[in-house]
Amino acid sequence: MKKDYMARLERAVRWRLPPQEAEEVISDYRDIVGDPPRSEEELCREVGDPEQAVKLLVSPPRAYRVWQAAFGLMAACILLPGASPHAPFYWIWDACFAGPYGGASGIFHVFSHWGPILAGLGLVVSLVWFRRQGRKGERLPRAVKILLAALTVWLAAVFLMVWLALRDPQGFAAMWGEVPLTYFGVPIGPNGGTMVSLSVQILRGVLQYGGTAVAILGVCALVRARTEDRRWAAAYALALAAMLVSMEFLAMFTSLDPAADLTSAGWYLPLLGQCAAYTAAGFVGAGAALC
Amino acid sequence: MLKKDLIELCLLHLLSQGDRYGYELLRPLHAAFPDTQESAVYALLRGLCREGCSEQYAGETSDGPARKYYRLTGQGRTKLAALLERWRALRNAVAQLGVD
Repeated sequence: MKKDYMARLERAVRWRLPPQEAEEVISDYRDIVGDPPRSEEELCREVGDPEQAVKLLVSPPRAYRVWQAAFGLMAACILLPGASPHAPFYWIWDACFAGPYGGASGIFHVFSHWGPILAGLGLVVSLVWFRRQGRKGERLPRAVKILLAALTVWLAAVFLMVWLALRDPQGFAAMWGEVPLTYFGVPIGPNGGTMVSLSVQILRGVLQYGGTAVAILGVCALVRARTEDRRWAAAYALALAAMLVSMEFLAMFTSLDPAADLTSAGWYLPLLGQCAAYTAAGFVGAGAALC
Repeated sequence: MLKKDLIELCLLHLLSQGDRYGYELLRPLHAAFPDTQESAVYALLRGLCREGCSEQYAGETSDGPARKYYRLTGQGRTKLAALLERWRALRNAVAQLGVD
């Protein structure tokens, strides 16, 4: 039970306090909690609830506010583009990914491809922050290895799906022609735009929901990079790349460009190159975060 | 004089009697102020360390691992004197009102 109390306290302390101060406080609390032995109930009553106890220590609060701002920025850099292909956030989608394929509108019209900019910002801030402020354990947590492997598999799967869709230009053009206008954000009547092949539905669903899930995993990795081991930031870096690649391909599949000649050879190569560069940046960032 | 100041006064007073480790400071304070949890007392103790009124060192124990002890500094003695003065003034003011 006492172990649970200390585990809760350690999480709260590492979330709210800078690493060096957090280690001092945890060490002090080990003395306080361990001598004499007390039950969890006694500890909560006499010492206080761990989360409340830690709040009392955040003084002056400036360092914590700076961390909150950094976390908010890093989370926004992955969540805004990651959540953008869902109905309430289409305006973000326009701003993040509409650039080369569709017509962006609104206040972001001046520059309409914020997705990679946000992801790049998140990557740089996370690398700088956790290199300077992070705590590194002796061994790389197993869960980090598993998550990195899962994200690598996800990236490979996305590239494979895209290759399968693009290897037959005629077939892809036909498939692309079936995408209903609602997919492009064009409001149409109840009977319009319902004809869509299963392969398009699957492709869109996987990229849309998978990309969002990857973004959420990236935020979870950020939390653990702060509270457990800074090398969790490697998972955030790779999640940024995986989210970005998913969204860029989704943008390609759901953007309307009547002038595009989908049967011309290699029209998609620039985008593939761009996504390969995002992937490479993700792996380089992950490698830097692991060092 | 706030309750926080009173607890700081008690902490500094205990340290003026000799070096103590965390639990030896927190326990009596929690007993004297039962509605104040040890974590609140610890936060004040840490604040005193940050202000330079007390400092920590690893002390030897006859059995078991080394403990962190706290000791009073010169700045702590000055603060103790100032808090004592405020406490005595408050006590006299209350006594003049006829409060026992």
